[in-house]
Amino acid sequence: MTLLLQLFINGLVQGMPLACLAVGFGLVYRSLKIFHLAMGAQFILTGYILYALMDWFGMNLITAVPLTLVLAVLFGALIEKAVYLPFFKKKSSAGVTMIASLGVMIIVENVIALIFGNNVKSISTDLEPIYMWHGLKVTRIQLIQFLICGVCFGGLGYLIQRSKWFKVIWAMGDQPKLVPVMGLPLNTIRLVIMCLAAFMVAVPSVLIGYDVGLEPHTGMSYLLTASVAVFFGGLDKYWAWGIGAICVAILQSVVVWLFSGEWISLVTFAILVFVLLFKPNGLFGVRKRMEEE
Amino acid sequence: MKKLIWTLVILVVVGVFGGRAWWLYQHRDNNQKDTLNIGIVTFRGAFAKMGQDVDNGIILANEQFSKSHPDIKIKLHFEDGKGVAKDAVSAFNKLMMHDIDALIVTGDNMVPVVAPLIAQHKLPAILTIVGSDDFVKHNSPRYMHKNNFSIGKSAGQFADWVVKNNNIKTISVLAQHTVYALEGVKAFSDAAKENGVSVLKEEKFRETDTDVRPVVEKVLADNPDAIFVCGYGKAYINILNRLKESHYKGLILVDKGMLNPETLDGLKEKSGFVFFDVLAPQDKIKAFNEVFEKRFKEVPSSYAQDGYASMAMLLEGISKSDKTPEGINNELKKITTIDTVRGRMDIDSNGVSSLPIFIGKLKADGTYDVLYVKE
Repeated sequence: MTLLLQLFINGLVQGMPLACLAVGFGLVYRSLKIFHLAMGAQFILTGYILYALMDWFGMNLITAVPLTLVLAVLFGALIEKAVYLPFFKKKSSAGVTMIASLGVMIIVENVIALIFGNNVKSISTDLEPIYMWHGLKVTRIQLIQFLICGVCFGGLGYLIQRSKWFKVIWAMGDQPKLVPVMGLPLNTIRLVIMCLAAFMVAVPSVLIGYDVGLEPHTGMSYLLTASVAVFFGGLDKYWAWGIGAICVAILQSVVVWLFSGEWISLVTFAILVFVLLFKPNGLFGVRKRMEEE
Repeated sequence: MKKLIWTLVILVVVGVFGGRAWWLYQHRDNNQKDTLNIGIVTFRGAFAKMGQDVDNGIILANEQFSKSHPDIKIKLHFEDGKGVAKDAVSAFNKLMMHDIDALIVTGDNMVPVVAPLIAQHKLPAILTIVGSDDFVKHNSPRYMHKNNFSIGKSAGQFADWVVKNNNIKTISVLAQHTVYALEGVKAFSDAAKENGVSVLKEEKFRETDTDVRPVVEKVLADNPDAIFVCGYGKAYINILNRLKESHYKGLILVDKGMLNPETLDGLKEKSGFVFFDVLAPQDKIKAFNEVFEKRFKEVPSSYAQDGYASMAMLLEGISKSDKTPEGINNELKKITTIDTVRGRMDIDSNGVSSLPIFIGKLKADGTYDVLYVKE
C-alpha cells in the first residue's frame, strides 16, 4: 500500500510540470490552431541555454535562470515571426504549418547535437536531499517543481479568468476571425501567445533539466505527453489541461504498481486512443454545434 | 518530319548512354577485382560519438594493414544505419551497390534486421560492439562473427562472484528494453538463482522514459540485498542517480556501461557502484590510444578499440583467404582465439566471442578498485 501511495505522490508531483507543458502546447493549439511540434525544440533548447550559461559562461543558477527564461521567450517570439506568421499570412493549411513546426524541431535538435554532442549533460552535480514522511519520500527538486509549476499554472489560469487582455487570448481560440473585426492587433496577440507558451514550456524545462539532465532527443516525448494531457482534459477549458496532466502523470506512475515499467509509455498513447474514441472533446470538453466547429 | 528527326535524335542519345551504362555495369567486377570492398553499417544519431569512435578504429586498423600489406587493396564504405532497424536495412542496401566483399555491423540494435540479408548475400560479417550472443548462436550457415565481450557470459560470472562474496540472499534486476540488456539480466538472474538467491523483481525501462522514479520505487519497495542495472543512455544514468538519491543501503550492481564517459559524467555520486568490465591489457590500450590520438586528434573511448579489434579480425581473415567472400568467411570460421587490443578473445564453434573481465568498485573521483579478475 505504501508503494501505491508513493507512486501516486510521484505522479502528482510530476503532474505539475506536465501541466505547464500542456499549457505551452494548448495555448498555441487552441488559439493559433497550430499543432505546436516546435514546442519540443523549445523544451530542449531552454535546458541547453541554462547549461551553456552555467558551464560555458560560469554564471550561477540565480542569474542564469532568469536570463534563460528571457532567451527562451525570445526564441518563442522568433518561431512566431520567422515561421508561423509567414505561413499564417499566406493562409497555409494547418498541415503545412505543422510540417514547418516539425522542421523547426528537427533543425534545433540537430544543431544542439552538433554543438553540445549527443551525450547526456548534467546541470546539477549533487544528489538531491530527500524528505521522508511515514515511509513516503519526495526530493527537494520534486517539491520545487511542484510549487513553481503550480504557481505558474495557477497564476496564468487566474489571469486568463480575470484580466481583459488575457481574456482576449482565450476568446481568440473560440472566434479567431472576430479579433481583427473588433480592431484588436491580431499579430501582437499571436506574438503574446507564443511568448506566453514559450515561458510555460521554459519553466518546467529548466526544472526537469536540473533534475534529470539534458539530452538533445527527448523533446518529442515531453511534447507528446503534454499534447495527450490537453486532449485528455479537454481543449476548451484551461483548468482541464492541468487536471488532464495530473491524471496522465498519475496513471503513468501508478501503472508500474500492476505492470512492468516498460508499459509507462504505452499508457500515454492508450489514453490518447481512448479519449479520441469515446470522449473526442476530452473529459471536461464542451460539445459544440456543427456550425461552431 | 521534324518530329521524326527529334525522335531519332532522342533514341540515338538514349541508346548511346544506355549502352555505355550497360557496358560499365557488365564490366564493373573486372574493374574492381583488385580492390576488396568492405561495407560498414555504422550509426550516428543519439550515440554518435560511439559510432564515430568505432569507425575511426576501423579506419586506423585498415591504414596500418595497408602499410604492411601493400598488395591487398581495401576500400571502406560507410553507411549510417542510425542504430534503428528501418535505416539499417536502407544502409545495407546502399552498401550492396558497391559490390561488397565483407561487412562490419555496429551495435546490437541493427543486427536482427541485417542478419537475414547477410545470409541471403552470403557475406562474411563481423559484429562489433555487439554484446548479445543470441545473433550468432542461431547463425547457420555461419556468416556472422562476433568480435566483442559476451554480455551473457560476463553477467553470469559477475553474478556468481557477487553472490558468493557478499552474503546476498535477495536481488532485483532492472533492464533497459534492448537485446543487450535483456540478455544481460537474464544471465545474471539465472546465475544468481543457481546460487540460491531469490530474484524479487525483474523490471524493465525504456530509453525514452521521461520519469524513471516509479520503476525505481517499485524495485526499492522490496528492499533487496542488491540491485543489478543493465543498459545505457539517459534513462539508465537517471536510474543509477535515483538509487543513490534514495540512500539505498544494499549493493548497486552495474554492467559494463559503468565506465562509459557518458555514464561517469552523468552520475551525481560515483562511489560504491560495483561493476564489471573487459580486462583489457593496459600496455596495449596505452599504445593504441597514443596512435589513435595522433591520427584523429581526440581521446578514444573503448568503442574505438572495439572497432579496431573487429577490423583487425576481418583483415586476418582476408590476408589468409583467396579474397572471395566465401574464402574470407571460411578463414574467419577457423579463428578460435585472437589476440586483440582488448585482450585475448576466445571464439567458440557458434561464433560466440568472449573476453576476460574484471570486477571493480567505483570511487568518488571516478577511479576504481579492482575486486576480482576473471581470466
